[in-house]
Amino acid sequence: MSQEKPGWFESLAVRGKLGAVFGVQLAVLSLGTAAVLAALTQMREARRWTDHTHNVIEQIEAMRGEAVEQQAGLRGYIITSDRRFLEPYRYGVVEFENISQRLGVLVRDNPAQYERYSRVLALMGEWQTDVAARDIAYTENPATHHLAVEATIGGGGQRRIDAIKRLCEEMIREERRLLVSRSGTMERVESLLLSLIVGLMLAGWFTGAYAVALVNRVLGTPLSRLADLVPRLITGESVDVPYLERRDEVGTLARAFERLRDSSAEQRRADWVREQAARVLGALQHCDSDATFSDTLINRLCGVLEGGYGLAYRWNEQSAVLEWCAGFGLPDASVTRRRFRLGEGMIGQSMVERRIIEMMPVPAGYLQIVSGLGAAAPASVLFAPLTARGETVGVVEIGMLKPMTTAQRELLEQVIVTSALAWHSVSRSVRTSELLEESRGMTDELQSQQESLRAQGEELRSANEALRGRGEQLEEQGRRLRASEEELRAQAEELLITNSALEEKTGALRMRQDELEAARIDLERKASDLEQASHYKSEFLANMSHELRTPLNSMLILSKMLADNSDGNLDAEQVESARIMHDSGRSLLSLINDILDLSKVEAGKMGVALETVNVSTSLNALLQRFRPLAGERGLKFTVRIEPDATRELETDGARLAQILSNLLSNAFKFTHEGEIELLAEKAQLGAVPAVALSVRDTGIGIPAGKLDRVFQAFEQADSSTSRRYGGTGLGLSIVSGMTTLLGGQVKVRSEEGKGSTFTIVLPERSPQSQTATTTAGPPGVDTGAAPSLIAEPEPGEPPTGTPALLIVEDDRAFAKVLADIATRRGLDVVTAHTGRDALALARKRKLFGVLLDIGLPDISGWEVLERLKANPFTAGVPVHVVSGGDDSDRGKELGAVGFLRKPVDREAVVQALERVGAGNAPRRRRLLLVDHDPASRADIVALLSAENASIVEAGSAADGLAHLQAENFDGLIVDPDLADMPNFEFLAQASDRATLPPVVIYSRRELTPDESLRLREYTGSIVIHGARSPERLIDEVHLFLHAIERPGKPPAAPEPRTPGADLTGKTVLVVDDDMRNVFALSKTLRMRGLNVVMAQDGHKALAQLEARSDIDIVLMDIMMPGMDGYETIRRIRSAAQWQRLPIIAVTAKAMKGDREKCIEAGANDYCAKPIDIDQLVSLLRVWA
Amino acid sequence: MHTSDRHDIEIDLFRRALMLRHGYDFTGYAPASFKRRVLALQAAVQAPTVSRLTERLLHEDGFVRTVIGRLSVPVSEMFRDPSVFRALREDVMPVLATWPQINIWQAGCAHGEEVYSLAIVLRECGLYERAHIFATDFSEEALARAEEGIYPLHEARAYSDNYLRAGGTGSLSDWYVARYNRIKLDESLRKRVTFARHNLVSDGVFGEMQLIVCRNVLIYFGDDLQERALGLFRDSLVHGGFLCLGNRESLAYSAMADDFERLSEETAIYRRGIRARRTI
Ligand SMILES: C[S@@+](CC[C@H](N)C(=O)[O-])C[C@H]1O[C@@H](n2cnc3c(N)ncnc32)[C@H](O)[C@@H]1O
Repeated sequence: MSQEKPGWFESLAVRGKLGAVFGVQLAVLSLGTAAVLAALTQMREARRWTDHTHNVIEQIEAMRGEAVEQQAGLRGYIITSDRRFLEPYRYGVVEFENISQRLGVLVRDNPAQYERYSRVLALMGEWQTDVAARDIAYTENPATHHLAVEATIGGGGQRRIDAIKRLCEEMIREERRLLVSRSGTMERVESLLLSLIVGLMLAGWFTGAYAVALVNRVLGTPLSRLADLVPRLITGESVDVPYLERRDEVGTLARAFERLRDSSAEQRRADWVREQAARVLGALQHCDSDATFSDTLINRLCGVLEGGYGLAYRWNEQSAVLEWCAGFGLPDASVTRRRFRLGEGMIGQSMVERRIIEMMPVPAGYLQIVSGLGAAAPASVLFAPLTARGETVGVVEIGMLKPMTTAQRELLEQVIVTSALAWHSVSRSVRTSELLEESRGMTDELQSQQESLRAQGEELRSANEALRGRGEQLEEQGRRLRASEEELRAQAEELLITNSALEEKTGALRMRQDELEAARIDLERKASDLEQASHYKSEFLANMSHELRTPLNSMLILSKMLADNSDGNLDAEQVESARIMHDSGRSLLSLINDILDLSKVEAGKMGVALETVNVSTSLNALLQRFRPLAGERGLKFTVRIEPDATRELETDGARLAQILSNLLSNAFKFTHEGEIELLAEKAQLGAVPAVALSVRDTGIGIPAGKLDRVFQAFEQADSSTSRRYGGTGLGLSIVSGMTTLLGGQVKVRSEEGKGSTFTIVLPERSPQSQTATTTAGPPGVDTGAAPSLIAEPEPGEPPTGTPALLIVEDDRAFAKVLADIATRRGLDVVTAHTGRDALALARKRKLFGVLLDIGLPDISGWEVLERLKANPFTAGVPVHVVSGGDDSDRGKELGAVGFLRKPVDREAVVQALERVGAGNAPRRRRLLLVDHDPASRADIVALLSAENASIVEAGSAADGLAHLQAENFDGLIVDPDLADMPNFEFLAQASDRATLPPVVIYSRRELTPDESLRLREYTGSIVIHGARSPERLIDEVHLFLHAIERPGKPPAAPEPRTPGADLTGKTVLVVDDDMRNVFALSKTLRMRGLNVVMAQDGHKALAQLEARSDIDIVLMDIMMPGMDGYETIRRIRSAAQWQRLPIIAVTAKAMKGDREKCIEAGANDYCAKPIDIDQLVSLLRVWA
Repeated sequence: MHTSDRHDIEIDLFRRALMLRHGYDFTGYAPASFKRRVLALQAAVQAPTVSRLTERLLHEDGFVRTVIGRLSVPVSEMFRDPSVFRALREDVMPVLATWPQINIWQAGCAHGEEVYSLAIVLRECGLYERAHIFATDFSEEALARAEEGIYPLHEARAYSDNYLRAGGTGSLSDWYVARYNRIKLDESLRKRVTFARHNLVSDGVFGEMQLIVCRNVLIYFGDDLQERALGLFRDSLVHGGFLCLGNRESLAYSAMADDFERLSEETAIYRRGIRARRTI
C-alpha cells in the first residue's frame, strides 16, 4: 500500500470503491449468467430439433408402416376377396392421411425432406388410384378377379410401394443425419455451458477474494490503524497520523485525527505555556524589589526555557542605558559588559526592535555554559526585550542548550510582556516607597534643620534684643550726659571763680604731697627690698638645702654601710661611731628637709595638688604607721572619727599626711606615758564647712607664756628640750605654713605637765585660689587669728612663660578682633573677659603689655590697672586703656601709657600695640636645626625667618649633639634620617644626655606606624614633608616658641609620690592606639615605679604577651582600629596561660552596656577615660 | 488634661525609661525634634500610645535597637555637600599629609555614606594607608548598615554627580559594583575603618584625631549637649587638626569658638588653635 502515492483507486471515496469492486463482480456474474442462458437456449433448441427429428422419424416410420399396411390389407383382400381384408386398407388410407399431414408440418422447414415427402405422397396417391382402386375393382367382379390376382402376383403396384419405402428410408436417413448433427451441437453447447459455469464460479471467487482483500487493504487496515491511534491521541501523545494525503474518507478521517492531534497538542502547549507563565508570574508577584525581581525573573525564565545561563538588564531611564542587574548560571566575572546603550549590541538591538532575537548558531568563543563537570557552547542565544505598554523595562539574554521550541517561544513572548508590566509596577512601587522613605527622612532632617535654624533665629533675636536694649541705654545715658554737661558747664564757671583762690592753697599742698610721695616711694622701696631680701633668703635656703642633700645622701649611704659592718672589719667602737655618724646624718637630713619645706612654704614655692582624700583612709594609714612606735613607747594610740565628720576632703593628701605626721611625731616625742589620740570632727571655718583634726597627747605640755611662739621657726618650748628631745623645732612652723597653704588654720591648747592638743581646721574643699596665696600667715593661736597685714594677695611666684600681650575686654567679639590684630603681628596673646581673670592671668603669665577695657563685669578696669601697678611683677608692664568713656586723664594718673576711645579702628589698635611695646616684646629664641641636607636646612631657615628666633644649624647628628651639650636651646628641629646616626639614634642619645627642649621632627619621607610610635617618645610634633608641610612646620615651631600649651603634650606630671611598695617593679602592658594616652600613662606609671610596656594595637599586644613572660597586668584600650579591645581581651583569655592575667579595660564609653561588655569579654575591671590616675593606681593595686 | 500635656508626660517617661533601662540619654536633645522622632517611632511600630513604647522598651530585649534606629535620622549621601568634600580634598588633605598617621573620627556616620566618601578621597589622595577612620554612631542599626556599604542603585547617579562636583579624579563607579539594583562599595575601602558604637551624649574621648567630621548631628542637640560634643571634639583634636561640621552648624555660639579658626566662610571646616589660644 503506497502511502506516498495514492493510486487512483485509493483516492476514490469508499462508496465508489465498494461500487467498483462489487460492480465488477456483478458484471462478471451477469455476463456469465447471460452466457449460460444463451447456452441453455441453444441446448433447448438443439433438444427440440432432436425431438423434432425423432418425431419426424417416428412419423416417417408410421407413414411407411401405414403404406405397407395398406398394401398388405389390399393384398389380403385381393387374394381372399374377403371384404374384411379391405378394412385395414381403409384404415391405412386414413391413417396415412393423418400421418402424412402431421409429417408435412414437421418437414415443411426442410425442403429436401419435404420434396421427399411430397414424392411419397405423390407415389402413394398414384398407387391408390392406379393400383389399389383397379385391383379392388377387379377383385369385386370375380371375373376380373383373376386379372387383380395376376396384377398382384405380377407386382404391378409393388414398385411404387418400394419407392415409397425407399423414399421413407431416405428420409429417415436424412433425419438420422440431422439428428447426429443436432446432438453434436447440443453436446457442444453442453460443454460450453459447463465451462461457462466453471469459469463463472472461478471469476466469482476471484473477484470476491480480491474485493475482500482490496477493501481490507484500503479501508480495514487504515481504519484499524487510525483506531489504534485514538487512545494515544487521547493521552495527548504526539503521534504521526498516516493517510493524510489520501483523499478518501480515510484521508478525511486521518486529517480529522491530525487536526484533533494538532489541536490537542496545541491545547496542551497552550496549557503548558499558561501554566509556566503563571508560575513565573506567581514567583514574580512576591518580589518587592528590583533586585529580587530581576533575580527571580532570570532564574525562572532560565528554568522554564531550559536556558544554560541568563542575564537581565534593566533599563535605566535617567542614564538611558541598560544596566546589568541579575544573572543566572554564570560566573560573576564573566559579565563583561554591564551597560548597553540603545541599539548597542544584541541587547540594545533587541530593545530597539522590541522583539525576541534568537541568535543561532552561536559564534565560536561565545560564553560557555559551565557545570561542575564540563562546559558546552549554547545552541542559541535569545535576546528578549521586556516590553509593556510600548515601554521597555529591560532586556533578558538567555543562552539555550537547545534551540527554542514554539511553546517556549510562546511562553517567552507571553512572559516578557506580563513580567515587563509587573517589573514596571514593582520598580514603581519600590521607587515610591523609597521616595517616601527618603522624603520622610528628608522631612525629618529638614524639620530638624528648621528647628535648629529656628533656635538660631531665636538666639539671634534675643541677641538683637539685648543689643537694642543696650543701644537704648546708651542713648539714655547720652541724654543724661548732655544734661549734666550743661550743669557741669555752669558749675565750671562757678568753679573758675573759686579756683584762683584754691590755686594758692594747692601750691602748698602739692609740696606736701611731693614730700609724702617721696616718703612713700622710699617706704615702698624699702618694703620691696625687704621682700626681695626675704625672698632671696628663702630662695637661698631652698637652693642650699638642695645642694646639701646631695653630698649628705652619699654620706648617709656610706655611713650606713660602715655601721652595718658587713665586711666585719670594724671593731665595736668604730661601728658605734659609724652609727652615730649615720644618725647625725639622718638628723641633718631631716633638718635640711624641714628647712627646705619651710623655705618652700615661705618662698611660696610649695605647690598644692588638690584631690579627693578619704579621711578615714588617711587617718588609718597614720595609725598603722605610728602604732609600732606607740608599742615601743608603751603609749596608747587611738584614732577616732566623729560620725558627723566629713568622709572626704578635697585637699592635698600628701601635705595633709605630712602635717599630721609632724604633729604626731611631736606628740610622741613629748609624751612619756598616757595616750595619744588622733581625732576628726566636724568644724566650721567661718561659714565654710570644715573638719577639725586634732592630735591630743598627755605629754609635757607647753607653758602658757610660750604658747604663742611655738609656731615660729626654730622655737621649742625650751631650748633645752631641743637637746633632750632632738628634732629641728621646725615641725610646727611647717605645719602652720602648710595648713595655711591648704586654706586652714592651726590651733593649740596646752597645759604644762598635762598635755597639749594641736588642732588643724581644714575646709572640706580647699579653695583653689589658696594655691596662689602661699605665704604662711601667722598661725591663729587660740587667742585669735592675727589680722592679715596685706589686703592684696602677695604676688607670690613671679609670672612665667614668654611675655605675652594681655587683652582685657568683656565683649568677646571685640576681644577677638584685638587678639587677631595682635596675633597677626606675631604676638603672643592671652585674653581675659573679667577683671579677676585678668589679675589671675597677670600673676601667672609674664606680660609685655596690656590692652585694658574699663567697663568690666566684675571689678572696674581702673581697679585692675591699680592692682597691676601695685604688683611688683606687673608694675612695669605698659598698660593701654581702651574704653567707651573718656577719662584719659584718670588713665594717665594711674600710669596707663595711652588711652583709646571706642569705637576704635585698626590703625589705632596698631598704634596702641606699638605703645605697649609690641615692637620689642619677646626675646629672640634659639633653635637648633639638625639636618644633613644643606639645601633643606636653607629652606627651613628661610621658612622660619619670620619667627623671632636665631637658628643654629648642625649638619650631622654628632654635630647636633655637640651643640646640645654646649649650649641651651629653646627648640630642636630634627630630620629623623641622619646619615651618621640612623634609626633615631640621635634623639635617643640627645635625650639621654640632657633634658630635651621641645622637638619638632621634620621628615622627608612617610613614617611607618612603628617609627612614629618610637618618635612619639620624644615629641608629639611630627611633620611629614609635603605641599603643606612648611606651613605646619611653622605652626609647630611657633607653638613651642610661644610656649603654648600643646594639646598633644602629656598632662602635667603629678608630683612623684611615695610609690606603693606593692607596685614597684611590676610590669604593666599598656595597649592603646592613642599616643597621648600611652605616653602620659607610661610616664606617670613609670614614676610610680612600674615598668611599662607599650603596644599600639591588639596584635602587637598579643605579640608582646607572647614575647615576654614578665607582664603582670594589662591596661587595654577598647576602641582601637583593627582588632578592638574586646576582641583582644577575648583572644588573650582564650589562651590557657593568660586565664588569670589581670586585664583592666580602659574605655571612653560610659554607658552601662559598654562596661558590661568589657567584663563579658574577660576584663577584670574597667577604668573610664579620661583616666583618673589615682583610680587607676588603686585598680592596679587591687589587681596587680 | 490636654492631650499635648499627656503626650509630653508620656514622652518624658519614655525618655527616662530609655535612660534608666538602656543608658541612652536624650535629655539634652532639642525637645521639639525629639518629640517628633518619638511620635514618628510610635507611628512606625504602630504603637497605640507612647506609653506602650515605654513598656516594650522596658520588657522587650531587642526593642531598643529599633528605637534608637528610629530616633536617629540616618539621612545622608555620598559626597553630600560636594563643596565641603572639595574643600576637604583640596585644603585639608594636603595638611593631613604632614602627619605620620592620620586619625579621622566620623561621628554620627549614619549609613556610612560619608565614611566611604572620605575613604575614597583618602585613597585618591594617596593617604589611605596612613589613615584610620573611626566611624561612630550611637545607633547599632545604622552602624550595621554602614558596615555593609550597600546603597540603592538609583542613588548612584546623584552620588556620582556629587563626587564629580567634589573634585573626584576618577569615576565613582571605580569604587563600587552594581548588582541588582544596589551598589556595593569596594571592600578595600573598609580596610582602615573601625566601626564602633559611641554616644556623643555619654561617651568620652578615645583618641587623638587629625580630622573630625561630624555633620548634621549637632542640629539635633540642645545647646548644652552641643557644647559637650564640641568639647569632646576639641579635646580629641591635635593642635592644627580639623573639625568639619554640617553646613547648618557652627561654632559661633559656642564657648569653644576661641579654640578654633574657621577655614573659609563657605564651609563649616574649622582648625584647632593653629595660631594662638586666646583663652587660658
Ligand atoms: C542626619 S545623620 C548625619 C549623617 C551624616 N553625618 C551627614 O551629614 O550626612 C545623624 C546621625 O547622628 C547620629 N546620632 C544622633 N545622636 C547621636 C549621639 N548622641 N551619638 C552618636 N550619634 C548620634 C544618628 O544616629 C544619625 O545617624
